[in-house]
Amino acid sequence: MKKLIKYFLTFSFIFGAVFANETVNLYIGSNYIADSTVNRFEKTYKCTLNQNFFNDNEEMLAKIAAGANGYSVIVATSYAVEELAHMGKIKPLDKTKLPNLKYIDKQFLNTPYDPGNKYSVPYAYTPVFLAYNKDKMAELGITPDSWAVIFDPKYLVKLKGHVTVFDSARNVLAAALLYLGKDPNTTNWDDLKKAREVIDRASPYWARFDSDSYYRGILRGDVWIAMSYSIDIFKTIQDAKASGSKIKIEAMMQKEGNMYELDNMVIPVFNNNDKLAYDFMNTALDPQSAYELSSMTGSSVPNPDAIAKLDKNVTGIDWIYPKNMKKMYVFKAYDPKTRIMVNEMWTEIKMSGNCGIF
Amino acid sequence: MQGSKISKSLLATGTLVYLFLYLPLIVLIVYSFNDSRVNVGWVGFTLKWYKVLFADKQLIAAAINSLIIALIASTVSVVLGTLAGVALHKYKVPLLSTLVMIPVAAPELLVGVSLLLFFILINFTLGMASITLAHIAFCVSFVTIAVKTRMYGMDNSLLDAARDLGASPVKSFFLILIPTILPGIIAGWLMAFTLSIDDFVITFFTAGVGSSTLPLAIYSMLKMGVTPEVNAASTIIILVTLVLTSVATKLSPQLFK
Amino acid sequence: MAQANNAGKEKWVLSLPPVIYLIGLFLIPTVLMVFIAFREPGDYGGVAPLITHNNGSSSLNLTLDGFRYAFSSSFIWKLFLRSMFFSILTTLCCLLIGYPLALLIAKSAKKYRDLLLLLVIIPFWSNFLIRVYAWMILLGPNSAISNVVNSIRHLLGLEPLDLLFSSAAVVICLVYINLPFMILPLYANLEKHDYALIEASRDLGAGKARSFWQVTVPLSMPGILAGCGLVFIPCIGMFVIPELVGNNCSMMIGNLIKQQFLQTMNWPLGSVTSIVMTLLVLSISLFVGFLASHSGGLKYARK
Repeated sequence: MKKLIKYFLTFSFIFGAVFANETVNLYIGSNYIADSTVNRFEKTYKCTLNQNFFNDNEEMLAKIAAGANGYSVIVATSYAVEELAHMGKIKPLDKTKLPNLKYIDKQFLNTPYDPGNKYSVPYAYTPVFLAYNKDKMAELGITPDSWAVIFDPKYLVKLKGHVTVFDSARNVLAAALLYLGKDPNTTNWDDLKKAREVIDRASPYWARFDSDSYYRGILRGDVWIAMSYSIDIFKTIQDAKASGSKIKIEAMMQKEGNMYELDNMVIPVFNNNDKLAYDFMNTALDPQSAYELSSMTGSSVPNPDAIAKLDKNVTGIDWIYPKNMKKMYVFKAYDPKTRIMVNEMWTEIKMSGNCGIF
Repeated sequence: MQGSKISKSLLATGTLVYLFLYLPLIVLIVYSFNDSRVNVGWVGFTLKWYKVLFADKQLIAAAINSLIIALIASTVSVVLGTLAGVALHKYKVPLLSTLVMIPVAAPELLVGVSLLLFFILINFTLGMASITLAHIAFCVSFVTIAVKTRMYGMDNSLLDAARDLGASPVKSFFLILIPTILPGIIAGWLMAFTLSIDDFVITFFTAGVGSSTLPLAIYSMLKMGVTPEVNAASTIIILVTLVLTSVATKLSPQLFK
Repeated sequence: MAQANNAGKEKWVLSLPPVIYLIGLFLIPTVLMVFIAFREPGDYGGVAPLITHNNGSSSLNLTLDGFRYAFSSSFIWKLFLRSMFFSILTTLCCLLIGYPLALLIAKSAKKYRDLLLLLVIIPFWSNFLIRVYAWMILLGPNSAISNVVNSIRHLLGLEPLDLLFSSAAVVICLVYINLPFMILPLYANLEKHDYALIEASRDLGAGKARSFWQVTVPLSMPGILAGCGLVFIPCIGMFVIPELVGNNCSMMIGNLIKQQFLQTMNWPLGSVTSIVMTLLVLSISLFVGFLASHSGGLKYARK
């Protein structure tokens, strides 16, 4: 009996520890907030910040559409914000409760996917580009300054089995469209079909669709060139240095232009503690948090005060803070019909590629 | 079969198969003590991955979730499964026997996906509760089978005697039937507990916010790129299973016959 | 009379709670899924409304489009064929590896058998993701196995190969995960064989090989069929292993189903594929059951 009481006490202790504080449930991509920011937020507002990770926006949208709730703040990419708004899953924001919005660079406000920032405020952005194994590229005489390197068989014959692209319809299509000189957000079916032909021609040369662990492949040496996110490559270069790896990892932007995933904070309709959600947003908009985020994770922040404080070694990297923002594009949402058709197309591309049955 | 000679080649093949079964796990465990971020080559002994593991709040929360779900699911399914097992032993209930067979025969993927659709359509929030309900559903079948198997060997005259002596059905159920089939019930409970704590596919589809279980957490670690922290977590899970298995074997040997 | 009445009552008191639970959480969800297969996909997941009102006229949105699309798409056929191929290959490998071990255990002295059997079960009790992960380490680039394979390929003048992220890795993991499902029923069958039969065949002049192929194997047919069924069925619906260790060309039907529900939000197509997959699995299990009940060995086993 004594034992039973002891067990009971242990359990209530665990429960107590979990439920004593108010919690903010953040739904965010992994490795996308600095630990110091989390600690500061938890201390200041005496609450617990719970991070829930998603792999990509499609997964997040599917879960939200499926009725997943309980999140206080979601950090979603541009087009996903638009879709969440269409679904009626996010609340209009009260800007008077967001004094720290003043720190944000105007060029990231009032975007085409959320005019007047009705639902969203910018969090950070992540350029998408090609990262590569420097020695291998030198050996093969390839300069990855164009998307052609991952789409044109001329280059791909030398790279077969050592290229990865994202497991993301939007990113792969956008890269193919940029390569073709088309609008990366086009809904013109002829253009999308042409992009598909380019992808079908190239996919037999690709190792796999991978947006989660491709950077480990680069570090191991089996992936020579990969469609990459700045935060992953920033971390991988640090890891390579720390582990004394012989592999030199570099990255560059492509001359046809690049996408960047502009991520935003939104509050879902089912959130019932708006005060804490706004507190979190203000904390994240604060230059100190933006500084921590950019220097810890290599994210690009839309926060000039934070950028001014940052090390030139970070702000000088072209694939983190691109010099030519004119050639950088954000994703806009597809209309439902295009989305369903693109999804169908993507399923076919991804599931069968150009391989045989086996 | 016993008594026939074991040829050398058969012995060698058998040993190789055991090696095939154990070598991967041994390598995994050894690398959990390796002082390197990558699972290639031995660098030096360290316990740092275990330190990292015990400081990982998310993983510990997931382990606690798994335990809570498994405890509730196995207990509830033992109650339902015992009722079903007794009913199927004593009476012909074709509806029940078919229902019990579905989760055993149907592909896990189908069960997971259909439960996901069901929870969404009835507007049931995905989370700990939906996972637990789903786990109970597939555990009931296994408990039923364990209880039914136990009852085959049961002496019905005891129950008849109790009734003749004037015991009410309820009384004889709790005082005579339950104690007699207790080993079957315990075996069923253990089985349900293991199935629940181990389940990935059905949990994957029925999980929601803040309801990550241990297998889900390991899955996302495997997907996101692995550090030897996963080796450390795996080593602990393997050891715990080893201990539980040996305890379970001692408790209810007929489970393994 | 009163007793019969009581028995009827007891029957329902006992069976009603599990019946209600299982109907609620198995039958209804499955039936729902069948309904969804005939609906049109909604804009953001879910399904389009069943009835739409348009200028005063209402139309019922039921469709066979999902089935039509699934059967006319060559890539879905390809995925089904590939899943079948992987599963059959896995089953054969398990049989080839599992039979000798089951035979060895059955032939061992009684006091060792339980231990030997437990040694088969133990790895199978640790979580299957962990077992897949163990192979991710073994097959990883620069691992011992990769180095050996690639140095052999090098000697033969072949390109180096990625072992991890390949169809071979998928099949290896499937075999590893499912092997105990083959060994246990095989052992259960082999253990019951009467050694006198084999001795008799030897006395009548049959060689070792001949008595194995003509006596032991036919007698163990029910065990072989049960093992094959138990390995084959879970293989078909697998999606985790191709995702973790496969490449572009090793996706299986389970990956498509998962993607339809959790990424592209086309519920009707996901439901159609799940239903077709389930029917496939059911018909195969019925076929295996039919074979088992008509194989000679079972008659012997019954005695």
